[in-house]
Amino acid sequence: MRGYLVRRLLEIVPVLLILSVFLFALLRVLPGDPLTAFVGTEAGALDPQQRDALRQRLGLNDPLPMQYLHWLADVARGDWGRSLIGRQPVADLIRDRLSVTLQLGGLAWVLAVTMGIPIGVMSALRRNTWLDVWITAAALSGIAVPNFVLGLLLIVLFGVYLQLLPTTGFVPLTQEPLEALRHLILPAIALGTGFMATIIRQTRSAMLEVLREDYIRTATAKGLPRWQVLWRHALRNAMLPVITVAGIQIGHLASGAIVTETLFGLPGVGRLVADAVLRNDYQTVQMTVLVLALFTIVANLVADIGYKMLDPRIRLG
Amino acid sequence: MSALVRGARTARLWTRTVSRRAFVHSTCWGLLGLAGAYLTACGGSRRTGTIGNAPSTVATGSTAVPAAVRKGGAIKIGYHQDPGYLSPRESRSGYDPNFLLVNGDSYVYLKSDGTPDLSSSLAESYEFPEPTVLVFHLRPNVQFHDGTPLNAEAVKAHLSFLMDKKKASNFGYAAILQPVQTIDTPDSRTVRLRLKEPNPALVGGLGTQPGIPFSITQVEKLGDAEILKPALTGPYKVDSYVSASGWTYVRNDAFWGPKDGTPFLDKIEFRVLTEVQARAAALEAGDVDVVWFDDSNETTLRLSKDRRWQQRKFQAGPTLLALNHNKPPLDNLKVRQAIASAIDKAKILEVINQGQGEIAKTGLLPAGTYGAIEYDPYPYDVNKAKRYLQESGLPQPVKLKLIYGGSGTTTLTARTAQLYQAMLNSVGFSVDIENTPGNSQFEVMFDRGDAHLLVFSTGVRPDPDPQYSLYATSYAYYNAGRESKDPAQARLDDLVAKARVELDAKKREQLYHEISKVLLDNVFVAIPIVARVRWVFARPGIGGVDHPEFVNTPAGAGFRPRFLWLQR
Repeated sequence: MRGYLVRRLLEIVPVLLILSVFLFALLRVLPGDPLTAFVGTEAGALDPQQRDALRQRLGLNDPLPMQYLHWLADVARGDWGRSLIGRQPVADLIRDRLSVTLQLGGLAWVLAVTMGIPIGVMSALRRNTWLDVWITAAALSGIAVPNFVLGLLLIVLFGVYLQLLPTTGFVPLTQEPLEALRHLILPAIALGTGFMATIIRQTRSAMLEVLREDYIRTATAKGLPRWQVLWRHALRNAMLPVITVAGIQIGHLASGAIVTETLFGLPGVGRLVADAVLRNDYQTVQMTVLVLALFTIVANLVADIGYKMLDPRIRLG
Repeated sequence: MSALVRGARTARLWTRTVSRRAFVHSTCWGLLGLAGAYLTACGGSRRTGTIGNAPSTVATGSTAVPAAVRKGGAIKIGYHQDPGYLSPRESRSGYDPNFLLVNGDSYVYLKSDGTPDLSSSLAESYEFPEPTVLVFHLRPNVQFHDGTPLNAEAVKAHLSFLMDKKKASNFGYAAILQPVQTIDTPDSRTVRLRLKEPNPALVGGLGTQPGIPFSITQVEKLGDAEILKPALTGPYKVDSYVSASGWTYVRNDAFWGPKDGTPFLDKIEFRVLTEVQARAAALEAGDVDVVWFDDSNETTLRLSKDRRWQQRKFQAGPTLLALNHNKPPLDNLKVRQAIASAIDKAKILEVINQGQGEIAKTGLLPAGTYGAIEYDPYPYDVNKAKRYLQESGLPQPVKLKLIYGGSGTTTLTARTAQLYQAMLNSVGFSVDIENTPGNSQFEVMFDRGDAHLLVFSTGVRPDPDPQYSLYATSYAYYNAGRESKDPAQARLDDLVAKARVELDAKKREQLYHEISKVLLDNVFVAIPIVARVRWVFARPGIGGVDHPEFVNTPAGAGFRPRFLWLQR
C-alpha cells in the first residue's frame, strides 16, 4: 500500500508537467493580445511607448519557450507570479479563493452523498413503486437542469419571494458558522443537485444489481436481519461504482463552481479562472488550472484507496 | 381516523407498484397542475408599472416626502465587475469614476451638465493667464487619507507620476496629460502647468481619472499594495478589498467638505455581482440596496416597470458600426453610403436595446453640446441603399466581413451583428459574421485591418478632443482606415488639430459639428447607431438617488454613491 501510494504521488509530477506544457501552449495559441485584453476598452489610449513598457513588464517580448522556462523556474522556486490584472501574488489569490471553493464544493459534496445514497437505496428497495417513480423523475430532472438555471430558480424562490436566505455574499465558516451556512446553502444545492442525482441513479442501479446476487439470497436465507443484509452485504458492494462516480465528480464540482460562484457572487477559485480566462491573465489561469488538476488527481487517488478499504479483494498497483 | 392509520395508508400509497396506465394518467395530471400553477403565478404579478420608458427619476413611497438626511448606516451596492484595483494610478476603464470618486476628489469637479463646479473641486479656482499656461489655486486644509497634505508639491508629484510611462505603465489616460510640458509650484497652493500648445480640453480631463490625486507617500510606502489601498482625499476611505467578492469604504472624518454634507454613511460596500439577473435578484431579495447596470437589457426593462424601486437612467456612449474605410470595397464611397442607408437604427434600438436609449447622431453623445447635431445625410432607406450599391459599379453580392467580440452567439453583440447582417444582405451585400474570441476584435480590426466591419461601442469623455483624436484622425487607434489617402482624412486631421487649440467655445463647437459632418458625409470610421443608457435602481429608503449629481454622464457616464444616505 505504501509503495503504491509513493508511486502514485510520484506520477503526479510528470502529469502536471505535461499538463503545464499543454496549458502554456494552449493559452498562447488562443487569439487575442493579452495587452489588449489587459487594458480593455482603453487599449487605443496607450501610446506605443506605454505599450512597449507594458509588454516588457509582462514578459511578452521573450520567445515562447523562454517564457515557459522562466515561468517553470519561478514556480519551482515557489514564486507563482503575480496576476496581470491586480498584481496580487497568484499564490495568495489561489489560497484565498480555494478556501471558498472548498467550503462550497465540500458542502455540495456532503449534501449530495449523504442524501443521494440513502435516497438511491430507498429507490432500489421500492422498485417500480410511486416512490421510485418520483425519485427517478426528480433525479433525471436534477441531471437535466443546468446548475445555473437551478441556481436562478433557488434565488428567485428562497431569496426574492420567500426572503429566507441570502442570494449573494460569502461569510467564512470559521468566522460565523451559522451565517456561513445560510450563505452557502443555496449555492451548494445548486452545485450539488446534479451530482446528487447522479449518485441516486448510480446507487439505485448498483443496489438493484447487487440485490439479485446469490450471496444476498444466501444471506437472507440463513436468517440474517434485513438491515444487516442490506448494510453489510448489499450496500458495501454496491458502493464501488458509486465511489468511482464520487471521485470523478470532485473534478466536475470544480468546473460547476465557475457558474455557481458567478451566479451567487462567491469569490471562489471557479470565478478566478473564469475572470482570468476572459482577461487573458495567463499567470493566474496557468497556476489555478494546475492546482485544480492536482486537486482532481488527489481526489481520484483517495477514491482508489476507498475501493481497497471497501473491497479487500482489490489489489492496488 | 388515527394518525397511525393515515400514516400507514400514505406509506402503502408510496410503496404500491405503479402500472403503466396509472403512471401516464398521473403524469398528465401533474403536468396540467404545473401549467395551472405557472399561469396563476404569471397572472399574479406584483408589478404595477407603466409600459415604455420610465421617467429618469421616479419618486417612490418614502422618497416622495422629503426626509431629513440621516448620518450613519451602511449601504450595499451591487456592481457589475471587480476592477482588480482601487487606485486611480491603475485606471484604464471608463467605469472607474464610479468608485474612484467615492473616496477620491478631482481637481475640477465636473457636474452632470459637463460644466465645472469649483465648490466641489480640489482647485478653488483656475485660470489661463496665457493660452499655454493653466494655473490652479488649491483648496486649503485638504489632506490625503494617510494624513499627508494635498499641496502644490503633492499635485506635482501626482501628475509627474502619471506622466512617467514606466511608473504609470498601466494607466490608460496618460494621453490626457500629454499636452503638459512642465509643472511649477510657485507656492504651496498654486500649481502652474505650462502646455505645449493651447488645450481647453485639459480642464475637463482633470475632472476624470488623471485629475483624481493619490498620495505618492502611500505609493512609496506600500508599493504595489497601494493599488488596493490608495490614499485619496474624498469623503470615504478604502477599508477592505476581497478579490471578486467586493470592497468597502468607511467614512473619512477628516474630509475637507462642509460638515453637514457627505460623508453621510458610515460604510459603503461594493459587491461584485457579474450576472445581470443575480444583481437584480439581490436587489429584490434585499441583499443589496442599490444596483448598477452598465447597459440596457430585459432585466433593466423589467425593473424599470416595477415602481418599488427608485431609478435613474442616463446616457452612456454610443454603439457604432465601425468600418475600415480604407479596405476595399469600403474605399468606395458609394458602398459606404449603401451601408449607412441600409442600417435601420430604430430597429436596432427597438430589438437590441428594448427601446431604452435613442438613436445616435454622431460619435459623441446626442445630449452634449458638441454632439447635439441634427444631421443625417443617409437616413434609413432600402431603395437608396440598393441604388448606391448599383452606382458603386461592383458585382453583387458585395462581400464583407463583420466581426464582433465577446463570446457565444446569443449575446447582445452577436444579435446586433446578426441584425446588421440581415439588413445589409437585403440590399445586395453578402456579409460573413465572425466571432473573435479572447477580446481580439480590436486587434483584428484596428491592428491588423482584417475585417471590414466591427460591432463596437465607445465610452464617454468630457471633452470631444480625446474622443475624436482617438477615433477620427490618421493617428487614431480606433480608426481602422487611418492610412486612407482620401482628402477627407486629411481634412479631419486638420479640423481636429484646430478644434483642440481653439479657446473660443462657440467656434470650438462649430468646429466639432463640422468634424461630425465630414465623418457622416463620407461615412468614415464608424456609423453611429444608438446612444445607450445605463441604469441605477435603489430600494426605498435610500436617499440621494434623485440628487441631480447622483448620475453623471460627462465624467465617465456613471453614478456617484457619495451622495447617498439613509432616510429616517
